[in-house]
Amino acid sequence: MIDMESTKSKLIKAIEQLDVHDHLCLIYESREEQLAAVIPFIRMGLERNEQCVYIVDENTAQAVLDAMRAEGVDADSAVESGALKVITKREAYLREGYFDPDLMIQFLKEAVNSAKKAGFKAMRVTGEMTWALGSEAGVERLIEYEAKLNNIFPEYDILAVCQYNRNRFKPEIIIDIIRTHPLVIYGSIICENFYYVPPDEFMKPKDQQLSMEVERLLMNILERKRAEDALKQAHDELEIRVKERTSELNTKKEELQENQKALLNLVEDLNGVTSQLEATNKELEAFSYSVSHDLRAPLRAIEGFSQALLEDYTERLDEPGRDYLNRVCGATQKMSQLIDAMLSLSRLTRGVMKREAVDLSALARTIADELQKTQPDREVEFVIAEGVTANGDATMLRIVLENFLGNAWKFTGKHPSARIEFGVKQVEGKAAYFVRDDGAGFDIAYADKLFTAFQRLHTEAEFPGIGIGLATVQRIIHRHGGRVRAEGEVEKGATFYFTI
Amino acid sequence: MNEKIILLVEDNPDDVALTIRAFKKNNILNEVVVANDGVEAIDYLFGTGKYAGRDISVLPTVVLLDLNLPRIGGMEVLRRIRSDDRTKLVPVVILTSSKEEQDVINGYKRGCNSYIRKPVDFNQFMDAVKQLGIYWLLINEPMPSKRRA
Repeated sequence: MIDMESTKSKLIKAIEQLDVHDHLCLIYESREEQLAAVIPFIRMGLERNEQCVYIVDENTAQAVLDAMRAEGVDADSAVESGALKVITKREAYLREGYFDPDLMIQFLKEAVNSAKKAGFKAMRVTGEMTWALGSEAGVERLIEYEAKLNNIFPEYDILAVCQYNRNRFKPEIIIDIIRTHPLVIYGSIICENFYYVPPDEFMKPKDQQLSMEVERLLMNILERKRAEDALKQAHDELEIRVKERTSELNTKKEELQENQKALLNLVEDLNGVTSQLEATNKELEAFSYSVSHDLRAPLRAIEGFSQALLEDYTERLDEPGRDYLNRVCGATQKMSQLIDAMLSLSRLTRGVMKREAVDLSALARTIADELQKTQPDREVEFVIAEGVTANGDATMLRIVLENFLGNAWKFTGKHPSARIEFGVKQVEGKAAYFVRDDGAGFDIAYADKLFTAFQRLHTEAEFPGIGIGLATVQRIIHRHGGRVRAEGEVEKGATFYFTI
Repeated sequence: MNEKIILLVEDNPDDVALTIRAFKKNNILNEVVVANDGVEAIDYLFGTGKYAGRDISVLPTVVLLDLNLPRIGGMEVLRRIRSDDRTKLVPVVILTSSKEEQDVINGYKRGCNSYIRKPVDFNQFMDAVKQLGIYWLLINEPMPSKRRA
């Protein structure tokens, strides 16, 4: 079944390739074979707006139309519109009651012209040639007709399939039929006919014809040889190209495999680095832990005994002695703060981050109140925008705001009154949160030092601090994938912007 | 007079001195017996070694126990205290710098009465010592002594 289907579709494809000026003979042995070629031939013509003429003889007009309908061709409306004409031998070959090749050719020429005039692109004809077996025709005149017919095809917009039932015509007739058609439909193929004899040779007297035939046969042989050679050459070239492409593909494949290997190695390296990093992180954690204890236990003793000296031996110490001890206490406290800061900074980098919606306005308000309580006498106006939220880790964002607002509080401390603002504005489509003050400010030339740990732009005497706050802030903001930036001018205040 | 004794098991002499001073500063004038390691603590409690012949019916009112000790560790000291009928009711407060969660769990499993992390900050340390002294020696009602019972 599948084979039959593929045979059928192969033939249909070949028939689709046919065009105006083609003259074919169809050599068939069964009705199925006949219809399998002829019906697609007609269908194609109707689709291409060609006038289709079917001359019946073996079949009745009714049978042909039924066969077309069965194959889904809308034969009825085609007949009605004049696009399809199913006629008999008496309406075509034998209109005069006898057959005359020249008259028939004249009839075809006129038919093509009137089809063109009626708006058709061309005329498509197919005829069941069994009529020629009748007494009215005579086979000699048939061959003459077929040969002469070839002369009109180049000039007229016509294509034709002449249907020959091999079981009805004698072999010598079939041979001549083959010799008078440039194209042959046989089985499921349409083939260029190398046995074709052009009309001027075919119509010559026998003696002249023979030498022309010799010439043609020799040419055919040469042509065939050339075709074979060309085919072989094409085949060889193709083989070379296939080999080339195959080796190219193999090279590509090898390259790909190399790349894949390299990638795998890279992944392995990366895994190594990751586990090294994890190990380093663990070490760091252990180190932080021991720093907090090993460094601070002696510090506790230093501070404790200095305190004890100050409290228990105060009368025996003179003023410079007490001053020195106070300095010792101050220094240990400072060192203890530094250790704390270091630890919390490293914790912030390692700790788990949980993102959620955080009400920054409420947070800022709470921090502002706490700051106010530390120095209730200071005159500071907090301007906090309402309804500012951000998506981030609540604890970390609190540290950020504590640092920014705490800094603003600290660096406005030398002014009789101050204004500290928290808000948000859109910068390049992203929410940029900001904390602004009108305090001591800073020299913009040193802006990059602001965020470096233990770097300060003011002396301890001016403004106390250990220089860890903004480094902490930057680390938190970077962990949130955001950016932080500072603007300021000496004695004109500072503004810190951050995105998260 | 029924003297309330504090047994301080601590190997860091600085912490010992600061703890004793903190008690004094806060008018906690009870006797403080210092054991510098686990062995000394056990000797004191059971009247062995250095403390051979001590009247062991006199129990400390509270034992302040560090965990990280030379020779016998604090956990082992606690285990021995709780596994001996003579000492199993003595209040034991673990006072340590260990932050390990496992130590806290083990401490309570073995029957400590309280677990205090030694604050690293001096002032907080002083405050913690003061508070635990006041609590265990003044506020808490101790077990009646055997001699009086």
